[in-house]
Amino acid sequence: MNDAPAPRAGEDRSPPDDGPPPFLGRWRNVYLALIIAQAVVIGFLALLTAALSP
Amino acid sequence: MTPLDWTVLFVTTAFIVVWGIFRYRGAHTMEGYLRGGNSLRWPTIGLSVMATQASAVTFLSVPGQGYEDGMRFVQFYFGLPLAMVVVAGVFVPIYYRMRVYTAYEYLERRFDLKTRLLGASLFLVSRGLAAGITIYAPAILLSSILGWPLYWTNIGIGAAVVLYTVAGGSKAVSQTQKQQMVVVLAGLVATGFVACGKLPDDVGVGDAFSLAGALGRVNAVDASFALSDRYNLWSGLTGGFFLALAYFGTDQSQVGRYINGRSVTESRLGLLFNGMFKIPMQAGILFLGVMVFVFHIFVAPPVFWNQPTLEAARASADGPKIALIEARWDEAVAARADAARAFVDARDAQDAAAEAAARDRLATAQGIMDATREEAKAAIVAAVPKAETKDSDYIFLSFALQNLPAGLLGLLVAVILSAAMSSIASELSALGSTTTVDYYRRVIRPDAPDSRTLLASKLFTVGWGVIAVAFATFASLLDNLIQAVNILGSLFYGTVLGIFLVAFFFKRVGGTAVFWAAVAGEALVVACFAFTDIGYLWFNVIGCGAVIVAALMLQTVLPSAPVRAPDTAA
Repeated sequence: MNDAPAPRAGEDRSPPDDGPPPFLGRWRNVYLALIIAQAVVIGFLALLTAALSP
Repeated sequence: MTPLDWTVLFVTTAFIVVWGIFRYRGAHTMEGYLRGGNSLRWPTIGLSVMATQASAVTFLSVPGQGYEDGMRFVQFYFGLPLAMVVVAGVFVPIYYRMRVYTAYEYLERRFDLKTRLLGASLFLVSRGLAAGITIYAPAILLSSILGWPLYWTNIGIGAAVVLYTVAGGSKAVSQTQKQQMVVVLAGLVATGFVACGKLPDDVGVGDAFSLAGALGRVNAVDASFALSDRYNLWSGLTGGFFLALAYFGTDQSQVGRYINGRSVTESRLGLLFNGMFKIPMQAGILFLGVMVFVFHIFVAPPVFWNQPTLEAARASADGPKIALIEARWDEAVAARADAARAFVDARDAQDAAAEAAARDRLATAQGIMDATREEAKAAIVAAVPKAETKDSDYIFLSFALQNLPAGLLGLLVAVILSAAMSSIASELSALGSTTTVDYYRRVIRPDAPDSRTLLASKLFTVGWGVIAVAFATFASLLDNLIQAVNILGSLFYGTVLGIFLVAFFFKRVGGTAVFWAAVAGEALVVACFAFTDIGYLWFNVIGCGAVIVAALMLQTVLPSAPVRAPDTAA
């Protein structure tokens, strides 16, 4: 996974980089799993609503 | 409360506070105090992020909301998981790479000082006022129902939080939040089992679901679209996404929770943990409220849940009118209970026609009850002019007080206090660190040694704690202001998120363009609030979009953005 060392105190700061890093990278499957899991949860709630609503 | 309840309450809360003070006291550097030495693992970060968002009001109001309005509020959180992905993928690595103490520090690196101070100021104003409400809201309920003195409840909550926050800094906040969240979840699960167990013997959980559904309480997903509808699938997915992105990505009370992780991976996993469990947790809390609703189909509920106010109305000159309304209420409650019995019997007999007839009777009785309740509220306001008619916050605590066994009630009050303390700790910590890093160390005393800055940070945290307790103490005089403060906070998020998204994704836009775009975006959101009936979740989309579009347009007429030197920020 795209890990990075923990920041430390002091004035030796990294130069800023205005742009975001590569968004998905090696985390793509983790993000996808989260989204799919939540879609299943929302789908379950939608089915529950449809089945029990008057 | 029984002696056992008091023992459970005291041991649980005192242990967490004392443990927080002594286990994590003695942070001697700014790095240690504000970022906890970057030592936290993802479970702590995840629970800390959850605990920060879930204040005591969440655990008092949300079951009440489930009781009154069903499960539709869960849609508010539908955009949150996707927002967690964006914060984890975009915001976290940037904050780590810049090694910032506050989110607003980044804005100076990217734009200029005035944009940084604008972001920090918006946070301090909205969160500073909200911190008082975080203390006041549970204190007023506990004092009203349990008879605790409001003044000392406010001071007790505030003082306990200030003690361990100042003693141990960010690490103490995160670690105590982990303990507090465990107490909260354990208390809620236990209360859920009791609520289900309190149903009549011949009413199973399946019957309870069907009854709740027949009375419109299982309404977790509403796919119809209306801008004025506060909670539906579309406002939840869109407005909820932008709100969650702004809150978790740019609000220092959350940013401060995950930039102190051991690594980017730990912070990301903590945020994704929150994304994974937030919707199920909120659905569970709403379901708890729905079960309390079903319980009160068979055990008569009062016409108005704030008992002291109801008693005052009964004792007033309008007492006979209130009594008449209560008599009609009792009739409607009995009719609903009869219809519910018929509904359950028809389901057991698999008699579809009888079930449909009972469903109609249920709906009719509920309609009469709803109308009678509104009539009662109007009569109560006429009898007690200062009465607050929103009584749903009292439902869950009233249920707990009357139905939970000895010990569990004490645990539930500990849950409420734990939730209050966990949220206020994050807020005070963030307010103190933002005041220190973005004002004191950047503008007031840039040359102060680390030890003096650390002392200033602790004093600022104490100062914000005193302001929060003072605001909470006098909040009872300012009911309308409380509502205004809640709305105020929701008005800023879209604008602040717009500033950050321009910073991340539009490299050619400079500080002056984004600053004035933020001013224009905020004006548009305020205009929408004042002159339209658009649901507030949409303000996040409107504010964010307005800032981005205005910044891009302004940049075309302004000089090119200067290249920022890396060493100009604090």
